[in-house]
Amino acid sequence: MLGKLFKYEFKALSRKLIPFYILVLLLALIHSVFTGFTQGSDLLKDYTMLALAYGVMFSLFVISLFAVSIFTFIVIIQRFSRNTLGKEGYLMHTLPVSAASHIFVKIVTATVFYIIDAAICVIAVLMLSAGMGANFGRMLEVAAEGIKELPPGTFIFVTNVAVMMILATSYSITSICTAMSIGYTSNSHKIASSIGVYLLIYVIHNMLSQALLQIMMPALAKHAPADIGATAYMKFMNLWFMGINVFLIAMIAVLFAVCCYFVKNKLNLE
Amino acid sequence: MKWSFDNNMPIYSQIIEQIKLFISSGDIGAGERLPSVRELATDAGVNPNTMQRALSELEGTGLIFSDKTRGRFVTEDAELIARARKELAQKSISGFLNFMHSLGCTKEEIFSLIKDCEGDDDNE
Amino acid sequence: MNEIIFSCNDLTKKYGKETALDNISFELGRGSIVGLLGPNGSGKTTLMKIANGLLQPTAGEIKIKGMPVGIGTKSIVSYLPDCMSLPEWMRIRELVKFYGDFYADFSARKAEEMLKSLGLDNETRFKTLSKGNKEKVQLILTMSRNAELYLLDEPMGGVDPATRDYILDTIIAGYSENSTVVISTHLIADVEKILDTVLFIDKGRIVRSDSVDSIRSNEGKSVDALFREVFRC
Repeated sequence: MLGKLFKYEFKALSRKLIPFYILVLLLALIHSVFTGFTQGSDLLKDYTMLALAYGVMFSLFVISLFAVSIFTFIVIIQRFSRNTLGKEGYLMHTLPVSAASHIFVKIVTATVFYIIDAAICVIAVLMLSAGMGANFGRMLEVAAEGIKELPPGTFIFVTNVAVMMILATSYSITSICTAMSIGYTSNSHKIASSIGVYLLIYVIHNMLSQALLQIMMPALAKHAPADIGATAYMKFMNLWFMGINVFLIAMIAVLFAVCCYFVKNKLNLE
Repeated sequence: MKWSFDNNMPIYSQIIEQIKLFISSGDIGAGERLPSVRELATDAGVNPNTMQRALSELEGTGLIFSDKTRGRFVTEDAELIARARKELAQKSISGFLNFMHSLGCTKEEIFSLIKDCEGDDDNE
Repeated sequence: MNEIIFSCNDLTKKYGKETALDNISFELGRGSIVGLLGPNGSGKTTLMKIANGLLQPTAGEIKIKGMPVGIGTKSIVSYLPDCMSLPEWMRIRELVKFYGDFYADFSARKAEEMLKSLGLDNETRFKTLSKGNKEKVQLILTMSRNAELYLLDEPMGGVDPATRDYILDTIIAGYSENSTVVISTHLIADVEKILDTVLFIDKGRIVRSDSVDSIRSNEGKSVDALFREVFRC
């Protein structure tokens, strides 16, 4: 059943988001070809119309990178509000599937699309660089050299950072979903209530982080690296970031449970 | 088949009357196979349970019978059908007579009125 | 002995000071078509929502086939809500596939036959259908399941008389001795011919529970006429 929920969730989100992502890549392609074409030549200086078109293209491109992230955000929220908390809820919540499955699928799919969104932006920028004549081969060579010099534990560090970014994304999505599931129990001010609850969650999260930091500080000071070597530093950072990740996982779990409770027991469709 | 129901009376008894009518008038022929309960219920727009009950009662009268494997059939007994037809006609006539008496018509008036109607029918 | 498929025990639902359902108890056996009749706001939809797990009661419980409301009951209950709940962007064939994916008792063949007889093209997107056709599609999908309990909330609201006839025919065609259909409506004259039993509900209470035949024999009037009497404004 979970697999089927994932199938329909992906279908619903990709039919809105994929065309946009393709558009962004197309714009990047056009722009990089344009750039490559006019690079090093005097075409732009000689033809003002061309320069104007170039400027417009570039602006569009930058705007599209921002727009795509905002669009992803809007589509995800719209989907949750309509499918889980709106009219489609009559269909979804009468399926022989638990509320937890529904929410889990929504959060995971949304996270995946955010990752795709980020990847699209990165690819778009890379395409632009290619157009500007970046030599990827040479860059990779230099990078390979550099990697050998890095202290041990860097790989773990990078993994930690990557996991943290994914968890942070999931955390944002989960807190929005939880805020909405609580806010939508109100009959008249659903959106305002949701925003209110979201801010509350944000404040609580901050307070908890601060509190934890205060508690951890003395302990950290004790274990702080005696020598300021790169290896010890890396070890410290890894521990630190792993701690953050655990905290994020705990917060996500708590919010997830709260969201499930509200969707199962306080559902207020239509 | 043309079904018509009065919602103020139980449906099953009306179904029985109407099927008797269909059989008497020949809409459903003697020995003919009846459609399934579900088909009849859908055609009449009634609850299948009600249709089932009506058919069971009709089986009691002998006008229809059920053959386990092949379904329900109208009886081939022409006399039984003729009797049912007569019963329906008599019922209608007694209803008509009650109405005419409530109008205050005498027997002679009734007959002459009927003759007049028939005369009109012939002229048409 | 008719097995009890639906039982409601001391069911109460309160919204703050307002009582939507007030200590309701009744039982339904298999193989009947039941009318849940009452004016707007009498608690019909609330009762159906609780039976489908969309609302939690304040007190009391509903049991379906002896099970409390949950995943087990959802797989044997086929629900038609009184609003449009299908994703507008899906094509008809995608909706059929959706139902088939989640419900083991769904018959795609039955659904496709009924949809074809309506002249609807599989590739049509749900949002482009007329209101009447949308209602029909929702009903077809609901009745194409071989469920043990069908809960239909105002299946004929807002559609023309011909569509209402079609809906009633579809309900009769979907009926089986093994399953029970509960129709909640206030359009009684149309529906009473197909009902076995009626429950009159008013202000969250069951005020009358009877078989249609006994109402007509004993009171000499249609259920519709009785309803107008009982619920006179």
